[in-house]
Amino acid sequence: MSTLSIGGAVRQILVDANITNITYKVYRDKAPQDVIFPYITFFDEISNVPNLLGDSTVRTRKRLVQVSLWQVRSSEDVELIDTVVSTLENAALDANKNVFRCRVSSIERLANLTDDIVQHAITLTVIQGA
Amino acid sequence: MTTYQQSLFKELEKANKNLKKVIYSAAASIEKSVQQIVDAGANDVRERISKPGSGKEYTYSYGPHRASSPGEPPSARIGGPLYKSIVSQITQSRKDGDKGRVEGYYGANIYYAPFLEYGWRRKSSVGEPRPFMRPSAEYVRSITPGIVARNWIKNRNAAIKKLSGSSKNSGADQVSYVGKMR
Repeated sequence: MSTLSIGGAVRQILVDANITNITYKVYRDKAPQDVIFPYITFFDEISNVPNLLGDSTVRTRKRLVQVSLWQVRSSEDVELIDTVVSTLENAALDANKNVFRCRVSSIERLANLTDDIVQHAITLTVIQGA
Repeated sequence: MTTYQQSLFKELEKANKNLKKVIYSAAASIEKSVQQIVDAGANDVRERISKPGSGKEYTYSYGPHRASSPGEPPSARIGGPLYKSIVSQITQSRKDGDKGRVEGYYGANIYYAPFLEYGWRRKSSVGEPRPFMRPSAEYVRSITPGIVARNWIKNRNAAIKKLSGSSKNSGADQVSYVGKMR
C-alpha cells in the first residue's frame, strides 16, 4: 500500500497518464498564478460520509474529490475533458487507504466569457476503507 | 364450482381490491416524502451557509462579517442574497404511459452559486471551491430512505385501519367462514 493520500493518488494517476499539454501540471487546491493553460487542479475531501451498515458499523466511507480542468475558452480542446474523464473513471488509486471504487459522478462546464476561461469541474466519488 | 368455492373466489377478489387500495394509498405518500426531502435539503443548505467562516473579516454596513476559507461552505449573511436564493420545489408531470411522477428540486438560484460551489478563476484572482450543495446532497441521500419508509408505513397503516373499519365482515365472521371451509 502506498503512502499517498487519496488526493495524491489522484494526482499520480493524472501525471502518469501524461495527458497532452497537461503532463505534470496538476496542482492541489490552487495553481500558481503564472501557470500556462491548460492545467488541472484538484480539491480533496469535499465531503466524507460513512456508509453505515445495518448495525451502524462503518466499513467504508464515501469521499468526494473535485478535479478541475482549466482551459482558454477560445482555444478549448474539447477532447481533453474526455481524456481526463477516461483516466479517472474506475482508476486504480494507489493510496494509503483501500480504495474500492473511483467513479466520475458529475461533470460541470463553467465558462467565464469575460476572462476567456473555461472550467470543467469533475466530481469524483471514491469509496474508501474506513 | 361449489358455493363455498364461489364465495372463496369472491373473498379473494375483495382481498385483491383491498390490497390495491392499500398499495395505492401508500404510493400517495411519495409526494409528501419528496416535499419533506427537498425541504430538509434546503434547510440543511441554509444551516450550512449561515455559519461564520474562518477566513478574512470584513466590515459592511450591517456589521462585521467573517468570510469562508476554501473548502468550507460559503459564509452567507442570514437574509442576504445567497441565503434568500435557496429554494425548494416539487413538480408533477404525467407522460404517455406513465402513472405520473413527482420530482423535487432544491438549490440556489443566484448566478454566482456555481462559482462558489466549484471555484472560479479570473485574470486577476483565483477562488477555490466552497462546496455547499454536494455535501448537502450527500446528507439528503442518507435521510431519504428513512423519510420514504416512514411516510409509506404511516399511509399504509391508515389505509388498513380505514378498510378494517369499513369492512362488513367482523373478525368473528371470518373465523366462522374459515371453519365452514374445512
